[in-house]
Amino acid sequence: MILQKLCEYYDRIAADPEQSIAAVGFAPQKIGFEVVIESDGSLHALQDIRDTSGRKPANRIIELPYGGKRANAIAPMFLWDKAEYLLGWVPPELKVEPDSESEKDKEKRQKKIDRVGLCFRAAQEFHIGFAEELLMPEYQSLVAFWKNWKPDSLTEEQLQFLADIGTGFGVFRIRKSTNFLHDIPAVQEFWAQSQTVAEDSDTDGFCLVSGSNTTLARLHPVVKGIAGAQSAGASIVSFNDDAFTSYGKEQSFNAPIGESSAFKYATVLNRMLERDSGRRLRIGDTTCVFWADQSTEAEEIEDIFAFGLDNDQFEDETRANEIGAMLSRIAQGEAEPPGAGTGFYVLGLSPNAARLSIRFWISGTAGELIERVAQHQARLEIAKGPKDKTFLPLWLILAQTARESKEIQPLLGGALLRSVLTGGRYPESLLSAIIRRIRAEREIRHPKAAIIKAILNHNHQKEISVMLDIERAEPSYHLGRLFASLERAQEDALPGLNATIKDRYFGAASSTPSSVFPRLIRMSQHHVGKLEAGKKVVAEKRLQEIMGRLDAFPPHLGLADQGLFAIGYYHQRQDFFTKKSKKED
Amino acid sequence: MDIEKNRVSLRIWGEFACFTRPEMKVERVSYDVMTPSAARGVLEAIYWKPEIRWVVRKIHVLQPIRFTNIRRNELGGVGPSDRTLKSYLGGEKTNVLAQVIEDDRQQRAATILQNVEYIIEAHYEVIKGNDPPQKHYEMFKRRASKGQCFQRPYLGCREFVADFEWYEGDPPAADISLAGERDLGFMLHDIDFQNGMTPRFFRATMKGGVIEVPQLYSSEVKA
Repeated sequence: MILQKLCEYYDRIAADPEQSIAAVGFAPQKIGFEVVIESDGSLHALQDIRDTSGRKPANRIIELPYGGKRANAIAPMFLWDKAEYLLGWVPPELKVEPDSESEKDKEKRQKKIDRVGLCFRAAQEFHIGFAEELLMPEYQSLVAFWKNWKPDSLTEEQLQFLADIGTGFGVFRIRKSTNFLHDIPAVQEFWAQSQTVAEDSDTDGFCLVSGSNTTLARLHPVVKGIAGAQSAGASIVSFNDDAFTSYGKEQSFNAPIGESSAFKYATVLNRMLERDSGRRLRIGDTTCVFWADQSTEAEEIEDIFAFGLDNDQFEDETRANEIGAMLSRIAQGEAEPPGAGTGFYVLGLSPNAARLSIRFWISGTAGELIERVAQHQARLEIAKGPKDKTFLPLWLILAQTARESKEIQPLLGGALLRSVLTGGRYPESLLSAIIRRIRAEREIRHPKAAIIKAILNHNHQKEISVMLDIERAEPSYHLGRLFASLERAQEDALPGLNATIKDRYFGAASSTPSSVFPRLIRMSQHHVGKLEAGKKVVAEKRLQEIMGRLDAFPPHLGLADQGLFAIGYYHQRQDFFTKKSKKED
Repeated sequence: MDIEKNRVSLRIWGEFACFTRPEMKVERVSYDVMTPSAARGVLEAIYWKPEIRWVVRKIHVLQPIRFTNIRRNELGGVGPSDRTLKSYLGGEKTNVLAQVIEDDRQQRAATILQNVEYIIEAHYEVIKGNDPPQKHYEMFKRRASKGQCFQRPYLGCREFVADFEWYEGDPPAADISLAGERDLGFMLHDIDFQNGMTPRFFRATMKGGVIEVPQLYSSEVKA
């Protein structure tokens, strides 16, 4: 289903006149320079065509004729390539002879230099080979260039230029022409044609994506842009070990997928994984992409969805506020989520060396998924300080479970997103991980309190209010409040202490109350005694009120109760601050 | 031969299941529901004779479709083939023949199904032998009712064992989340062992939790 839906999405974009996507036989490439040639085939100049609008010059992404993966083989590309292929340029580091070079290293270096020559000759033959099929004058100029060019005729200046240009590839242009050579429609048509002819010679079979009999792909295009995967890209469909194959099939014939389907799913996936596509999210070790079925509201839907999961990626503040307000209205049931009938898909991918594994695949209507995201954000709502965020992004939730991001449990991100999108229970390990962090940090700030509230509410059916709720039945909640009040009394009595009771007793108080609370209360008598008259009365009253709701100190609190303890503590502390700010008003 | 008399139903359930999609068989992703070949495997695990051939007709899905992830260590290589073994059996090679997991370990992730329950409706065709066809029905019924099996039936992968029971009467209603019609895409029907082990696929649709399985060689099933 996953690959089918990706292919359908490709077809929709390809059919949409307002959007463009690489056609079969073409793929986006990073281009850094152009080789300008005269119409007689001599070299005019090498020019930098990188995008200089940003801070650093960036390679331009252009769709170019694609001849498949090259890996280690010498295989020239059509009308674009590295300078080694196009001009026979030998990188300067190969030319310099290091001081203490062993015989073996020298041999290796010489081999690399020879290889450049082979690359250039291969490209030369490859391009000249099309001379009789492409009779237009522009291509003939290029043929003349290939025939006449001598790799060692690069000037000092040009050598320096190529050394400076960086990672980008080069393309061709005839001087005085505004188009690149690969932009000429007849050339593009020729390439697309030659690709389909080449395919016919391979194995035919049933494509399990399109359902038709076509040429099957032996190797699938790679997918790039997954966090943590190899930078050259990784594959969803690949068979790189004997144990993965079966029934005597080789490589991707184990998974019969047509060439064109393989191309489509990989192209559209790569496009969504581009940095600024707006359809990509990173959650823990999982990179996820999402898209809506073509509809007039697709962009709006995708924005609301992305905002609910990762509001940090919205740089435009007015837009963010707008979507945030919309999300709140949906959460409160005041507005209908958009896209009731529109299909919506979320695909989570995580790397495993050169392969990609599907972490999750969720499909449904946009309306129900947005509704669930909104509900999730509503569950997280809890009293907060002026600097705290209204909406918590998923990565921030995950960050609460570990000291640093690489310590987050690998499966937690996917499980969390799955639970948000299916409306199911939050992962059980989330609560225990957060409680553990609280005990270690002895601090509860807004994100942790919000998540505990959401988990208790959703997994343990506990209705927890946004603000302090002094009428709650559970003693563990009041134990949390009591602890906050005791800490407060100490802070007021002995300002500027290095270690308060929180630093010493928080863990014990929240897990085994009966062992520490009696002592804490005895200590608090001294603290309260030191307070000035007005504050003393307030503190005593508060302690009395809370103690009045407790019968006994339980010897042990379970995980959910420890969560409630944390919420009680957090609520009570927030309450101190809100009251104070009211007085100041 | 009256096929209607050869009809059996079997209820199976298990904690986990993975009916691997061929396109993602390395980093395994399960189909949403059981495939016909997996159902056949379950039936054969309980009762198999060269005289009969099982034909899966319908698969009822009783539990909502839920996925989860696991990651496991597995072996990257395969055991020796008959051809390699020959030189050992003939005594030409005598060095140690072994696979060592430490040298060839692969970590693979899998997206698998959780808490599954199905009813398989199937019949058998007698392909040879002179026994009364009803004999197989009785034997299967007796074995399934007593929980007997040749090897433990499993749900797609050997490690996800299946519990089973003989089932009679109308299948219970499916979970409400399965109501309506759902296109499951192209699904593996079975491997055609007679024709060079060609996989055959069919377009699976689930209507109210029931998947109708076409005959292996019908026009709906493509190779």
